[in-house]
Amino acid sequence: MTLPTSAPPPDGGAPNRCIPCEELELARVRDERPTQTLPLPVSALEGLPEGRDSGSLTRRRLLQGGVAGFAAVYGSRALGFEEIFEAAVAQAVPSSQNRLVVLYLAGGNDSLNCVLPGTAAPDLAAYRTARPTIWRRPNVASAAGAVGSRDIAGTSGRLAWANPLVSTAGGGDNGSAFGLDTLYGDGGDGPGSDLAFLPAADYTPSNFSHFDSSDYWFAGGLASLTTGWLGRWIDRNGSATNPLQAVSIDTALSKAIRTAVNPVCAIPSVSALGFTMNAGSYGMPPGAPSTANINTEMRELAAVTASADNTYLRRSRSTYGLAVDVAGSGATISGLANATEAYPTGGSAQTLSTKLQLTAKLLAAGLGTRIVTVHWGGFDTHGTQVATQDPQLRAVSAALGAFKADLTARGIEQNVTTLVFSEFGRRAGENGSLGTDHGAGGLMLLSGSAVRGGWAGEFPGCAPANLVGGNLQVTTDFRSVYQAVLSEWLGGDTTGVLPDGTPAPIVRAGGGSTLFK
Amino acid sequence: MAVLRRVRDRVRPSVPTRVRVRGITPTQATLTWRAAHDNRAVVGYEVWRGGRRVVRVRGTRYVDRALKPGRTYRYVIRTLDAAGNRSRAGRALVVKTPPAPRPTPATPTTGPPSTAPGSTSGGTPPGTSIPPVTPARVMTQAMVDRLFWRAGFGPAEPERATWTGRPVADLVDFFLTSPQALDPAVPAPVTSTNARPIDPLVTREEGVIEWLDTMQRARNPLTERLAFFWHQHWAVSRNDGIPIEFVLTYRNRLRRFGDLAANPGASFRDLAIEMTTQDAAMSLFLTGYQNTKSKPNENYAREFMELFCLGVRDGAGNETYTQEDVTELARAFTGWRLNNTVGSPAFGTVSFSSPASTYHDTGSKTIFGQTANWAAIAGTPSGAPSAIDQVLTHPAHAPFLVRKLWSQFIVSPIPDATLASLVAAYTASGAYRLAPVVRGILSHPLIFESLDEPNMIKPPVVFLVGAQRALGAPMKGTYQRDALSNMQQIPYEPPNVAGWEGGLSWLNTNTTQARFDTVLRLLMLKHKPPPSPTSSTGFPGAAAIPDPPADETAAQAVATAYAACTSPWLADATRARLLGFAATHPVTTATNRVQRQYALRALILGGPDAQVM
Repeated sequence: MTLPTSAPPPDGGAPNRCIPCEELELARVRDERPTQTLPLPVSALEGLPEGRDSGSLTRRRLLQGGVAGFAAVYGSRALGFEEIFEAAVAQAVPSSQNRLVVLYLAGGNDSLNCVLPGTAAPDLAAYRTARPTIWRRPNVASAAGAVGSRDIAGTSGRLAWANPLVSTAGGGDNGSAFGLDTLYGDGGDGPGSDLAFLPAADYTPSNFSHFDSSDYWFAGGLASLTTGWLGRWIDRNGSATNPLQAVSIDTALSKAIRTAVNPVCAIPSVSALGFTMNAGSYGMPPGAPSTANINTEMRELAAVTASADNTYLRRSRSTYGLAVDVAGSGATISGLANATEAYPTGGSAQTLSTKLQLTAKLLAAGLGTRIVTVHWGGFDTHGTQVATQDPQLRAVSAALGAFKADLTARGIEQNVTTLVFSEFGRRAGENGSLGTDHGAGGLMLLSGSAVRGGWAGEFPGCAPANLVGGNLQVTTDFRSVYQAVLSEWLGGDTTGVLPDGTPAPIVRAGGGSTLFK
Repeated sequence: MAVLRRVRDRVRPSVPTRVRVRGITPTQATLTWRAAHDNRAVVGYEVWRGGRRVVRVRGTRYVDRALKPGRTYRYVIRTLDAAGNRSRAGRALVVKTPPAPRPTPATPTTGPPSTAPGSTSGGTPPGTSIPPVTPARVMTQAMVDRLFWRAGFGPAEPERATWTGRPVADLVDFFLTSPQALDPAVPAPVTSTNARPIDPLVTREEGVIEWLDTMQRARNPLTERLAFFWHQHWAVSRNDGIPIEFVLTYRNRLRRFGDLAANPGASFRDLAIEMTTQDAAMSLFLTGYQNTKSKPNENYAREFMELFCLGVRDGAGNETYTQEDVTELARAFTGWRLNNTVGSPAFGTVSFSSPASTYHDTGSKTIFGQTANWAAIAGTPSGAPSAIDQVLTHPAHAPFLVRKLWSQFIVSPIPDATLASLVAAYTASGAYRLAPVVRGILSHPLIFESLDEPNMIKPPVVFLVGAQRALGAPMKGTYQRDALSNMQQIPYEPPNVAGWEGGLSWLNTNTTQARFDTVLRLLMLKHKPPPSPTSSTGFPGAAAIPDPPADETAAQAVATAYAACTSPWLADATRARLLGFAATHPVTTATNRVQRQYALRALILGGPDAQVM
């Protein structure tokens, strides 16, 4: 019996980073259980081709076509199955609702290893001094143990992308036709320039704790709150009956979309097998008939009620029940991708690709989904950074490009923006273990054809005079970026969504303060 | 004009009326009365109990908390005025405290389960009973089970027999003073091919099994539970390429601090010193050895404050340290070098830079507002005061550590009074002794809260070893480590320096399946003999479940399976459903009936009720 979890590392082999694991727990809601489990009919993910009238939206009709997965719904009350899909259909105005995809890179992504001094940068020498072993050579391909970078168009050689973020055609080594350079284009304001980057976005005073920092980024302010910034937006602008309006592609809800009132949900991207006892796997001789009805019986055991204050026993029973419900999902994820788009595959990149494929599918299905969160871990690179971070950068850049192409093929790309961030940056100087320690000023990216591409936040520079206690200066308050996303893109009622009041607008290198075309 | 002569007040105030008892528990009574009057002014009332004055109060209410259960008390309230006149005594109020409630009756170990579908245990509703236990109280079987789960890896039948009926204090004493010993009756683990006994230095899997084996066989399991707690606290992961020799030394060190029998004076301060200045695994994991005067590295100093000793915020929400404190502590910790050369006779030794100034920053540093030439430990180098002590004396440290230890054993938050008394015991004489804190926690009544519906989740390691003990299953090859990997807790491989998140995060749809699957693996190890003496499959000594008789009833099937699982706790409603399952399972062939046994055991030990303790 195989289970969809990370395989144990080989004996004495290379250290195996556990990517989809506890590091991501910081971003998940852990103290609240789902209110209910919603079966996701296959036809719903296909966009309900058989009809969107009340006659077609009955539970019996919808589930006839099979179940693609299960959503764990978090809301203030249980909702009816048909109620949900009627609301989903009603919310899906065919044209132009702006949608936001949030990609969180967990661990503190080293921004200086993504966007760094280019060939004409005045602080190139200072950068090299700060990172004597792991610095990236300007405008060269990676070779023979030295890692390279490629100048970013339109910055006059001031800044460069790390090679693993650049497409093959652009001279990079991410192994894909897509990269941050292809999304970025010429960095001007026009069409084809669809990626904005902010090299040092964060909050001050910097805290450097994974736990506190990630809480602040999800809350949208400098406090640990029980709702997320996007959750608050949903409470003000969303539906009272459609949990698919905001989805976390995960086994548990992301703190970013945690609401006080309106329903939201989490959809795991991997199907599971449930509880089976196949003869040969537990002591019966192989060939003996398999024990029937273990899943059914487990559902019965999970339905026993526990006292209201026994959180752990309630959680145990409800999770067993959910595991039975998730089991036996019909369509596998490979059937959900738009087969023409070349998402990166293999190892941990596959996890990210699968999640983005399901995201694209959900957005295209017209179920009223406005916000999707995807988390991906493994960026806490205290040691041997090049070996661990570069493969992930390849995966992120290739996946973002493939995701954009996927959305374009589905005809919805113009209404989708992807926001990429991490909970802090890392120190300018390397530590003694070929890595970097927690620092300030992480990289934020916005990707999409509606984004006003280009260099959207000041690069603080890494000469010692520009550093603050060895860390990059924070040149963009992350709340300013959130504010721009709220007012320029998502719209609607944004009063009080950010708890710390209205932040200052961003300042772009080329002038202006908008993030969207 | 007449001069008013001041006349001394000799008039008694009136007797308070309507003296009533408003609330009564075994140890306290709330008294109220109606206000009295006086010719001048009433200033208060005196509460007299059993002929003695207990207290003077200003208002008309008093809560007497010093009572004992099952006793009778006589109260008299007397009014007091400014001149010191007292009212007469008035009629006494007689108050009887109820006896202390008994804990709910123990679950019978054998016998047919309840046949009423959906029934719950009668009497106290589940989840609400906390017998007000004092350490002298004798234990029911449920209480014995509870202590063996919280302080160990579950009870075995001989342990139930030994301890049921004895006082709580005796078992707590056993846990704290009984020397380490391994049960020889449990089969020793072997490698995947049944070829040889395991050797933790050879493969990852064997490294994990070696510790699990000790946990399974320990006569006094508290040592291993505490050692594992310290592993979660002072987290080190071998995934960063740390040599296994360093990891085993680290583990043995933690075990020393968990063995409160051999080391009754075990002190957190000593542990902190050893981790900072002696432990090779920690030095490598948090790069302490790279923290030098010329290239300071804050990794260890930050975690020392944030995770190991203080926490980011104290109980009131104030930050406990600043970034400057971290930087200065890192400077104080500079200079501890590690010999990481394989083959060197000093491999794994941590030693201080010599001369000191080569790698140690001897300058003055300011930590928590105090400036000195701080170093890790006092006198190294000569004249330096101890930065470790400077951190431990921070007022946030003791409550932080006591709370963390408490939540290892008990779910409800620690009461303020208990926190205060454990902090006092912990910090007494600046010793930071661990035994009084552990003893205080294990003896606290709250460890028996929710006895009839257990409310703490079993972490994967506890669940696995507990299931092994319950079944009497052996360890072998990669089975146990694979199971723990799927349940997301592999010893020596915490996901990050904060250890494992724990709590609700242990349970998601993947890990619940993994827990069920673990029980299937253990059933296989227990019941699948090798097909031939030289075969590598199966486990030597395993024996198949014997064929049940053809006329075995559903109730008998459940009883047999339940006993084979060492009669764990199950909710009544769960038992009823299992009975229903057994009744509808096919039974026409011997294979069917054996399958019914396997299925019942898997549901009992791998189902939702088995995840709490």
